[in-house]
Amino acid sequence: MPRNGSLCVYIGLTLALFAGVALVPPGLVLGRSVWVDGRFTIAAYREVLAEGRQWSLLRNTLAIAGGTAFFATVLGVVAGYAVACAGRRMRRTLVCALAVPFLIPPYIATVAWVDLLGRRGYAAKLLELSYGDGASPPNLYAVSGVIFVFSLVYYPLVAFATFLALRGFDRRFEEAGLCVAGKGRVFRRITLPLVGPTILTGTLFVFMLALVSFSTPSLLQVNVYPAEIYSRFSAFNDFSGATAHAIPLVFCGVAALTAWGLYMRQSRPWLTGAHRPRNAAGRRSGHGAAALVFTWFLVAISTALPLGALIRRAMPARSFFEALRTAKEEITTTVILASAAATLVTALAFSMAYLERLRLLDSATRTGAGGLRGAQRGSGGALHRIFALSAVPFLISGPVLGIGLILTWNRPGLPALVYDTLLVVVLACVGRYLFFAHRGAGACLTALDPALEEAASVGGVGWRRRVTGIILPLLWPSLVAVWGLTFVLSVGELEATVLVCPPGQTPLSVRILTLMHYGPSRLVSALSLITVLLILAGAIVTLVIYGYARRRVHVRG
Amino acid sequence: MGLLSMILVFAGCGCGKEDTPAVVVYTALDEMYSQPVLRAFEKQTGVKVKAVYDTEASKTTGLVQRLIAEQSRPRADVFWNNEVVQTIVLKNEGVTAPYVSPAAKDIPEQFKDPDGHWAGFAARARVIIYNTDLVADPPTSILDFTKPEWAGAAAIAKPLFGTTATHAAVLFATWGDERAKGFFVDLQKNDVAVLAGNATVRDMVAQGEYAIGLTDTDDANGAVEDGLPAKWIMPDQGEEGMGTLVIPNTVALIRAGPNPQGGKALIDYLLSPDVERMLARTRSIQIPLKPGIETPETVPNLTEVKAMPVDFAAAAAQMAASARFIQQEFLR
Repeated sequence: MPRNGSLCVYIGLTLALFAGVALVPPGLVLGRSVWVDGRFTIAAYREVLAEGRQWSLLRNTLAIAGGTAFFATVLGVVAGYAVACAGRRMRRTLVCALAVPFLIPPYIATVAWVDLLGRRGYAAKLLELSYGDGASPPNLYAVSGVIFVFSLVYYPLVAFATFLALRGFDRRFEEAGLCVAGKGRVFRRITLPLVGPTILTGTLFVFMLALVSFSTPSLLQVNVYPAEIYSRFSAFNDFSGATAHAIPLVFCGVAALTAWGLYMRQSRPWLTGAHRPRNAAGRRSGHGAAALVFTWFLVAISTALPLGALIRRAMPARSFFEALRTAKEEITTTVILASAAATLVTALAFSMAYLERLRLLDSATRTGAGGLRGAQRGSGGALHRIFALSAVPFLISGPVLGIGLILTWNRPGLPALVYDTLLVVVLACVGRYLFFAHRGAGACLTALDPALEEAASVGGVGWRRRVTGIILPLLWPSLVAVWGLTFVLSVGELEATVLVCPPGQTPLSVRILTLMHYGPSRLVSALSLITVLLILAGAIVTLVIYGYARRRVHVRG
Repeated sequence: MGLLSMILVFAGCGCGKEDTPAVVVYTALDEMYSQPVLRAFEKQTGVKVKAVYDTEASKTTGLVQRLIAEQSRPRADVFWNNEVVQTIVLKNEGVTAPYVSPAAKDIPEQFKDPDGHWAGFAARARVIIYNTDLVADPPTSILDFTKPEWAGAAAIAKPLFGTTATHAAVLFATWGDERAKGFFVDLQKNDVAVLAGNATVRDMVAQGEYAIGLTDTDDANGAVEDGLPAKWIMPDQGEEGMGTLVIPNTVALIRAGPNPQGGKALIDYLLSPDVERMLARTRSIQIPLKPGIETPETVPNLTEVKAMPVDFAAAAAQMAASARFIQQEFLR
């Protein structure tokens, strides 16, 4: 990599920030769990692994993550297909409608579904009225209940991935294949390898989100690793045991990432990325019409029902004014926090992805083989492997990351600027969602035609001018999308935030949980709806900026 | 650099220098009850209070872990707990500092730390809540929860958190391991439901999902005030009864907190009769520990309640062992 002063500062800042949020907090937690009373011991790990409960925890955790990934993928693929089939105007409406379930934080969706399907929920009352005392809805307080809630929250991720895959899919490949082979073989050998990787990336994100989630399983009283970690901390004061329970989560996450990586490596390079989108719309068929009907039904179930339940519970309308009056500071704090977190995580993720790209460019220049495109198919080197550790702070679960941040930033001698202000919560959000932002930014950079930058590089243009003059102008619509995703996730973040939020600066998510003592009360429901509106507002702003940015890029192009 | 400046500006919100340093309190008592008290302190003294409230999910213990983790550079001055045992855990971890408040002199010795690390005020009691549509003759002892007539009809909160965890630890400390384990095994055999929290127990009983439940006075009173078909009684009050568990709020000074003087002033205020009076008049009907405080009729009088004699330090020592048994055997 060519070295100069500004590049060294850039690399140093990126690596320092990455280490500060992604490596040091988990490292300190791990270190403290094996360094007990001045000596090294893995007794806590041995004890945890020997417990009979491990199997039921592992079974529940994997069943929830796997089941959610499966059902969200099934629902998402149909919905994504429907979006691809829809006409231009309906597609816009459908995309907006599909975004809403994902914008409802899972713990808020859970509260709403408990209201609907809980033991004394609306469905139970309806069934009792219709069929008498013996009739009751399916039990929500079980693994299947968690999968149900999660699937309806996360399927839009797969739907969007499917839509993007179909939009970028050049149907000429299929048409060419059909000249010499049957539909089944074309689907297996051409269609699936082309759209599979993108859809599977959506599935992977869903798996990871469901794997480490604490709030929904906890509200529905299902024992999973994240809930166990929380119990270990709080009920047993057992720091080492809690950390030891995070290890299976990390293993499961790493296994899923490895499987995904292997699949991506096997996908056909001669097909991927070698096309321009054609026939993005117009997949009209009988299947398409059925998929559209099903998707609208799904949107109604996953959006209207939970939001309707929350609105019903929050009535009369004065509850909203009361909530707004009492939670003004929390709303402001949340907006500041989520905006700052989304900005920082997007900037860091882009910096990391660009460093990897610079490293590849450097390697391609030195070897002269295949240019950047060729180098991108390589392993990516040490930097790539280090940045892959961005998954660790997410996988160790929120409470462990929270403790890690306390150990890292609350030290005598360190300035209070970080730990005594909202910045520590910003870092918690950055740590939790860096993995997703890094993957997103990396994918966007990979999709950018490397010839532009290679030509500039050969012409002697420095890295800063290449970034500001070529990369950022072309990439900023995608970065706006990454910002929007992390904003949405940061507004709902709870599990690490609850341990580190500074006195007097409470985000909405923590306030809602604080008020949940009396169940889904009017105020809790009103605040939940305000949170959803806040997220929606953020998503709309993102969409508007994204649309504007795309138009600008097209005009330049 | 622009990005960094923006983050610093965002982070700097609310961290400007103030004339009087604020007192930072971590409180496990529900925000709806603790916030008015803290506001009254601010009004009376002019000292700003910054509070971190505990959430329903963590029920005291989240704040306790946070205080332990922050021990090397404490951010809080005062810990206001809604029970006792976790405060003793903090004392044992070296998180608290001794401070004998002049306002604590009227508090019964049972509710004060002999070393001055904490003092109790405004208590809640463990009570049996029952659905008046379903139960005419309610049980009078927690031991009745193991009787066949209540099989499948009784509920308790998860005994790993909050006052139910304290109750379990106290039973282990008072009865000894064998009897306490036997009691929980009998509860399990009698198909007693284990719910998320005391508020859920109250709701489920009030809705008729379960006939009886074990909860706290504040939760039970909420159901009665809301006009739901529920009433509550103090268990084990008879001649032979062991008494009910009375759990006070506790307050402790944090060792090496940033504003010890402000912390002591807040502790003095929290232990004053005004605060006990204020908390007694809320929906949570907290029971004053100091004598002579006038309360509404619905608030039990401590002199008329048969309270379980408890060694809270012994209960704290039993906490980990009882929690382990409950998690591994009772909640399998």
